[in-house]
Amino acid sequence: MADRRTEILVIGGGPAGLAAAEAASSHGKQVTVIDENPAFGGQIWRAEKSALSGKAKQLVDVLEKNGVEMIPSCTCVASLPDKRILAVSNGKSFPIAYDKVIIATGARERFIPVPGWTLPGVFGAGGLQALVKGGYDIGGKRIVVAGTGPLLLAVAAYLKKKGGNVLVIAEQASAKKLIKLGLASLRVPGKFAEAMKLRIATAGIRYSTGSVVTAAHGSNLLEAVAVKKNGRTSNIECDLLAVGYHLTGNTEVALLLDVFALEGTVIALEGQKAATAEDFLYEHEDIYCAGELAGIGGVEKSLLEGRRAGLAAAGVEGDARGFAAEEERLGRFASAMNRTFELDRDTLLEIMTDDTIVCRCEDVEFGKIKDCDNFIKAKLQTRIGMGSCQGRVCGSACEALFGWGTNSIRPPIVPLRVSELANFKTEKD
Amino acid sequence: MTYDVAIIGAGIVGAACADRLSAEGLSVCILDSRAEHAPATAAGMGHIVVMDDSEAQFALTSYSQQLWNELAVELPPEAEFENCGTLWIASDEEEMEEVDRKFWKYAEIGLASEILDERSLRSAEPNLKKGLSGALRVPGDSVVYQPVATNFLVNRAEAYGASVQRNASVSMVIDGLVETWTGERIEAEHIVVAAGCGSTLLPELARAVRPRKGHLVITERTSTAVNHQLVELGYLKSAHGTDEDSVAFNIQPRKTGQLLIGSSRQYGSNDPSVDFEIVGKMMKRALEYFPSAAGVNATRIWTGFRPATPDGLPYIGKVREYDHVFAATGHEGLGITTSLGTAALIADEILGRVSAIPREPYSPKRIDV
Repeated sequence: MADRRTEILVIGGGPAGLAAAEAASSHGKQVTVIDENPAFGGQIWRAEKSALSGKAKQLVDVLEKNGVEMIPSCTCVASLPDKRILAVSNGKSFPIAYDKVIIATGARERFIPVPGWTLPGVFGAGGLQALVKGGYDIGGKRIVVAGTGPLLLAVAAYLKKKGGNVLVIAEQASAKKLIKLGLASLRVPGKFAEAMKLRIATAGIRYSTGSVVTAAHGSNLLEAVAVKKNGRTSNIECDLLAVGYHLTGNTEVALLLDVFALEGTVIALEGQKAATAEDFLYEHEDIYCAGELAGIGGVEKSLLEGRRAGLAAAGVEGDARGFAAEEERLGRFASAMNRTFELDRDTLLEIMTDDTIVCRCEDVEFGKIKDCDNFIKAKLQTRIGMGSCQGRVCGSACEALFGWGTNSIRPPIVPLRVSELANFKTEKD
Repeated sequence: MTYDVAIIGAGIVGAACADRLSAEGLSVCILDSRAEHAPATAAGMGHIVVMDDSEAQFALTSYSQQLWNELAVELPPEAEFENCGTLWIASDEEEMEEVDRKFWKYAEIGLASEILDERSLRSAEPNLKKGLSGALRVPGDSVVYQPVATNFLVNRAEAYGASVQRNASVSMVIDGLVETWTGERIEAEHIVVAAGCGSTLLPELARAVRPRKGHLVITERTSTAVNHQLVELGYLKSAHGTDEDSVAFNIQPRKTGQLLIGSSRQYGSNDPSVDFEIVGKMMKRALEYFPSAAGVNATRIWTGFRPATPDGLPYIGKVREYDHVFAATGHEGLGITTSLGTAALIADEILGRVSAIPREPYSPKRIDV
């Protein structure tokens, strides 16, 4: 069997990836989109019980009409020579050859460990939301939502809607910073309304700014969390803690393809220009990056960047221009937002105790790594980041805690059965 | 200041040399071009193994194995030193003859080994495929997590007073002087080049040391039991018989419950990226011997470059054209095992002592000019 081949390969079927596929296929290009989830739409449009949600469905319908090949439950696990990737779907691996590739792998929640976080009852904020969407019942449960970022409000609103008793949203950012962001949002139509809608949906829930969870307590299960505000710590009894520290780009595929990334954002090396929200096209050996991994900025920014990447990959240069004003406005807002929800390293370090587990795959405690000079040393000496998740959780935590670059990745980026590796074969054209 | 010894390379060979020489009371400076890890050391398997392709290899590996057993008691638990022994697996009667030959050969120097027939092999390693002919069990072999062992040696050298300079990339070596690319000069009476494939900074070694690429696959933690380091006897052909790309079955149980699966050998590539074609062959070979690994998830694959020499023996000792420059490189796939023996030989040569084993077979003076 010859390799699968496509003109434009889109990795990731969230807003950016779908918009890219729509733009490229509407200009007559042969496009293939793969996504690791069973349904397209990405995290933002993740529908309940895996059915396709409204906005995702609209785009997918257009793609189907345009003859785009859609492969769900399909993950890029490695880069192969001659512009090919190794993809895995339902346990089977196969190469896909491409002329151009658009990486739109989105973002994930950044998780920062706190003492006690391995207790049952502690979840990533987005993780808990996904569980509830999948049918997990939180009716009547007392929940603390903590961390930083706009996601906290969205998660709290959702949990409340699903019958959860959300006691407090503990937001690390200060009230002053948040007011500044609120003002910035007035300049972006939709953003302010979005924020207001969330605030209304979370009405009645205490929104505590400048607050940090410093520990999760409990003997076998979570019983309470300690929240520190203005130097004072109070204990809040609860059943669930949903904690998330804003977002970090899924840069693994980009790194596999030798795109440079730092702190969860791809960086355009040409001219050594750092990627900002408005500089989202990583045009390097026919590789384009779009969406959250090119800078966290929300769904409008992702749609816009995806569309631009799709047009650029399709070679429609003229059409690709004309986004400048919109792009700049969204970019400016994204930067303001990311500054607001920037983590304060000293605050985080203060919380850590030597026995706080940082890497759950390999059971590595904070005390074992705190004196290492860099991530590679920590990895080699303690195996941090060498477990099945390959540092997806502890890598961004270490970046936040120590400022370590974790810019390395080893294939396969998701575990692959030995028998699948043994079956590997490829026929080059 | 002038050091007694400057060592270029802080991989396991350089680390062992630094530890040994500074323990002898010499002032030592170790230089490494990297911030942290030596790539060949980090990429290796950490199998401490006696091999007998040649008399000289047999002498160095068995001597080194003894030294590892002495060091083992001092290593931290994180070094995961495990005396699990090696099983050399014979798949047919012809290979059983090789098992027999090895047994008597090891017995000659008093090295314990045991011949397992088909049945006792099955009870020793129930997950191996049925129908293998038998194996030679070498109980004195071990495995070690070599990044931690290397770090231990470097730290101990520092505690003895050695100085460690990272990010110091050496541009030139002459008798008495090492110079880095940033123009720093380090004076030393003796200089030891232990830079693996990078040892080619000495033109005398550049002609002889060639990188030989290898791949390793590590799995998730699994309940599939492996009790020894398992190596097919055909490995000997693969490792040394040919210049062609080759694979051999080699599997190591890690203390974490993970399996480390090898191995491949390729000349002619300087590209560190994973070659899935050869990984495919490697895994196919592994499953021929160890079918139970089929459903286990591989979590990471990586590559490394072994510093190989034409005759399969390392270069240890004074280099031609210099009075006080020594090589400690070219260990190919045996760098972890023979690091300690190498360090002992280097120390003996520098201090003008007789060694426990003859040094002459490893002398770099055998390199054809």
